Amino acid sequence: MPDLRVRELSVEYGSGGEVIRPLDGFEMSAPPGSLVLLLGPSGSGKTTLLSCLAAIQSPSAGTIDFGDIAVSTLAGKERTAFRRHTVGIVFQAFNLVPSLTAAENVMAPLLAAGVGWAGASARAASLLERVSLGHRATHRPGELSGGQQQRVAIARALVHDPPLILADEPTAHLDHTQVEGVLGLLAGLMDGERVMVIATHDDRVLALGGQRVDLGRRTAR
Amino acid sequence: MIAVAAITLVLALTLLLSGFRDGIDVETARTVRALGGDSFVVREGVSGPFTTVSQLAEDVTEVVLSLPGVERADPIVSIRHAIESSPVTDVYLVGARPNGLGMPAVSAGRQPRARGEAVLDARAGRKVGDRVALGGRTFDVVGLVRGVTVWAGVPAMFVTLADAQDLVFAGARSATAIVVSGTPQARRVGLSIVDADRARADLKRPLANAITTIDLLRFFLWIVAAAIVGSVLYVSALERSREFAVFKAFGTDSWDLVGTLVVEAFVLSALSAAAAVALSRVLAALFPAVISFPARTMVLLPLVALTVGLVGSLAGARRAIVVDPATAFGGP
Repeated sequence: MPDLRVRELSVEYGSGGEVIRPLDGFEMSAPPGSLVLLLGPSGSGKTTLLSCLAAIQSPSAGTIDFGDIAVSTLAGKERTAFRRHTVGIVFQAFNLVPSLTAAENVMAPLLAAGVGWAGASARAASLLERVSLGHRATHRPGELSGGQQQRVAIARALVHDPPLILADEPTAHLDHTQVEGVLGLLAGLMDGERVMVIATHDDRVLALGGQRVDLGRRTAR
Repeated sequence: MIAVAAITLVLALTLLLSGFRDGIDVETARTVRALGGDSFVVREGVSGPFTTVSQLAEDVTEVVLSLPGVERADPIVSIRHAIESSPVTDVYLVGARPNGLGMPAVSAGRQPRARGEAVLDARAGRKVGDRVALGGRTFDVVGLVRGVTVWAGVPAMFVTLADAQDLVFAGARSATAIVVSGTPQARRVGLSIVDADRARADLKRPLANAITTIDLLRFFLWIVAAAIVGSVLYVSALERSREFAVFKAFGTDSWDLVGTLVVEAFVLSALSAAAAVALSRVLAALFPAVISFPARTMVLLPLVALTVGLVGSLAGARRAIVVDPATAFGGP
C-alpha cells in the first residue's frame, strides 16, 4: 500500500523583491494507514506543503512520492488525474458550492470524474449516512451549521475513496461542540491503509494522535 | 436570477427598439395596402402620392382609366391635418369616393357616404358617434378603421372626396393622386406612375432621419446588450473563482469547467431571450406607435442572444482556466 515520502522539499517565491521560502529542505515520511499532524503558526508553510502534496503546487526543489507515484514530477493532466483519483481534500472554509444540495456537493467530484449520476448519487447517500447527515441530503449549505458543512466537506473528500486525505485546518471555523463531532469523524477515517495529513494549530486536534510535524521548528516527533 | 432579469430587460428594450423600427415598415405597408390600389398616378415631377400636395384635375381619372392594364381608378386627396376639437389630434386626411379605391374597409360602423361624415383610425381615440372639428368644419365619426396610420402612429382620417376638395382645394374638383387597380401599360404626358414600392418609400420618407437615428441606436443597443450579457457572465465567473479553484483541486479539468460555463451561458441566454420576447410584447402595448415583431426578429433575437452569451462566457472561461486551485486553501 502507498506510503508518503517527502525529501529535501523546498518552495520559494519572490515577493516585493524578497525571496520567501516557506519550505526549505523539508523531510517527512508516513507509512500506509498513518496520520500526520502538521503543526505550526500561520506562515510556517503548512498550507504550502498541503498544496505540494496535492500536486497543486510544484516545489522548487526536492521530491514527493506517494507509493510509486512521483508526485513532484507530475505535469499537466497527470496532476489532474492524481488529484481526481488519489487525493481527497478537506478545506478550512468548507468550500461547498452554495447553489448545490449537500448530496450534489458530495457527488460533484465523482461527476467531474465521469461517474454516472445514479452511481454518484448512491455513493453520496452512503457517505452522508456515514457522516450522520443522510437526513440533510437535500439541504443547501446555507441551511446547514458550520459543523454540518464540514461533515459534508469530509464526505466529499471521501467520495472517490482516495488513499491520501489532506485536511487544512478542519476545525478552524467550528465551535466547541462542532469540533468534537468533526474530530470523531476524522478519527473514524483512520482505518485501513489510508494516509491522512492534517494541518492545524488547534490543540484539540492533537487528541487524534499520530505523527506530529512541527513546521515552526521543522522537527518530526 | 438577477442575471436573467438584467439580461431579459436589456434584450426586451433592444427588441422593442427593433420592433419600433420594423413597425414603421409594417405601418407604411399596411396603410398603402388599405387604400386598395396597386399603383398611383401623380403629376409628373412629383415625388409620390403622399408627401406632396400637387394638383391633378379630377377628370384625369377618366384618362387613367382608358390606359391599357388599368382595371379601376379613383381620385384621392391627401394631406396632413389636425382635428381641432379637444384633444387636438394630428391626422393624415384622405378624401376618397365612397366604396372607391382609397377608402379602406372599416372595422366598425360604415364608410362615409355624405359630406360631414368621417372614418377615423382607432388610434385617434374617438368612437363611432363622436363629432370632430377639422379645418373649420365638423365631421360625424361614422366608422373606425384599425392599423391605418402613418409616421409612427399618426392616425388616418377618411372623408368624402368632396369634403377633402373643399378643405384642400377650396372646392376645386382636383385630386392629389389617382389610385389605380392594375398596372398601367402606357404613359400619358404630364403624368407619372408610382408603383406600391415607391409609394411606400414616399410615405416613409419624412421619417428618413428618424429611421437612420433608430437604426444607429438599435446597432449601439445591441452592442450594449452584448456588453451587459458579457459583463453579467464575467462577474458571475469572478464570483465563482473559489468554486472553480475547489473543482480544480478535486481534479476537474479546466476545459470541463469551460464547458460548464458555456452551457450555463447558453441556458441563461436562452431563458433571457424567451423572457425578453414575452416582456417586449407586454411593453409594446404601452407604446403609441406600431411595434412589430416579425418572424425574422424572433428568430434573430435568440441567435444573437446565444451568440452574445457564448462570447460573454469566454471572459468567464478564461477566468476558469487561469484560476489557481491553491486558492481553495485558506480561510473564507
